[in-house]
Amino acid sequence: MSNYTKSTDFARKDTLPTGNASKIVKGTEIDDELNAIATSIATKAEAAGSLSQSFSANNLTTNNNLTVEGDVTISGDTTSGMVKAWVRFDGAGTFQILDGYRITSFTRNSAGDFAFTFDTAFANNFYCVVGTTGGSSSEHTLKVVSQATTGFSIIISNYTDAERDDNIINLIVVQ
Amino acid sequence: MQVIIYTQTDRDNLGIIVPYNKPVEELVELVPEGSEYKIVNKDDVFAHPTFLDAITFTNPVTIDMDKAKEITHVQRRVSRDKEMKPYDDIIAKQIPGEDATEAEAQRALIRTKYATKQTEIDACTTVEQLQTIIEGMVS
Repeated sequence: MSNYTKSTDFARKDTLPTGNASKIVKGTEIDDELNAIATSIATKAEAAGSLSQSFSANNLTTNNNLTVEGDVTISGDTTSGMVKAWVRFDGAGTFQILDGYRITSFTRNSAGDFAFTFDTAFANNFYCVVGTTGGSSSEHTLKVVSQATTGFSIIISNYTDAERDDNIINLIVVQ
Repeated sequence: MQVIIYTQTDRDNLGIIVPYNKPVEELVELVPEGSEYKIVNKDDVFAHPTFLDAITFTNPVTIDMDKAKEITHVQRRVSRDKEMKPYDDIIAKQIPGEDATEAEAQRALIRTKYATKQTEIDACTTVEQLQTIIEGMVS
C-alpha cells in the first residue's frame, strides 16, 4: 500500500513575484498529483469494508463481534479454550492417519501403544486429550498415558486389559 | 510411503514411526537415543497387521515366524478362555438350573479343540497359515 505525498507546493507559488516562471500552475503538475492520489487510494482498504478486497494485518483487534463467512485457516497457535490439534487414525487396518491437524506423525511402540507428535511444540503440557476408540470392538478402552509439549501417548486395551491395536481412533487436543 | 522402524531397549518388538504431512527423514529425530533405525517401505511393514510385533529389523522387512507363532498362541489362549468362561462360571458358581456335568463335557471339548490348534500353530510354516488360524478363533 502506498501513501500519498504531495510533490508540488502550490501555496508557495502564491508568494512568488509576478513573472516568475515557477508561479505558473502547470497541467502536468496537477496530473502528477491526481495520479499519485489515485494510486494511493486504489491500494488502501475500504474503511467500511469491501467484498472485493483482500488484505493482511499484523495484529487485528475487534472491540465487538467478528463474523467469518468463509473458512478459517490458523497456522500459528490459538488462544486458550480452542482445539489445538486433532487426528483421525486407523490403528489396525491400514495404519495411517486419515486426517488431522497439527499432527506430523504417529509412533507404534507396540500393540495398542501409540504416540503422536505435534508439528510445533506447545508452550506447556497443560492440555486435555480426549478420544474414542472401538472401530473393531466396543470392548476396547483408551487411556492417555503421557503428555509432553511435543506430543502425547495413548494405550488401547481390550476386554482382558491386554494392549491391542484398533481400527478407528479419534483424538482431539484442547487447551 | 516410507516409515521408520527402530529397535527398542525395553521391548522385544520394533517401534514404527509413520509420517503425516512431513518427510520421513525429518522424523528421524523422534527415534529414541540408543536405538538403531532403518527407513523402509510402509507396505512391507504393515503387510500382516496381526504380526506387527514380529517384524524383523531388516530392509525389506519380513516376519519372524517364531514371534508370529507366539502371537498366535497368545490369541489362542485368549480365545480359549473366552470360550471357556460361560462353562467355568457354571461350575465355579454352581449356578442353579445349569448342568455342571454338561458344562464339564463342553470344557473338555474346548480343551481338545485348542490343543489341536496348538499343534497346528506349531506346524505352520507361513504367516498366511497363522493368519488363517487366528481368523478361525473367537476374538
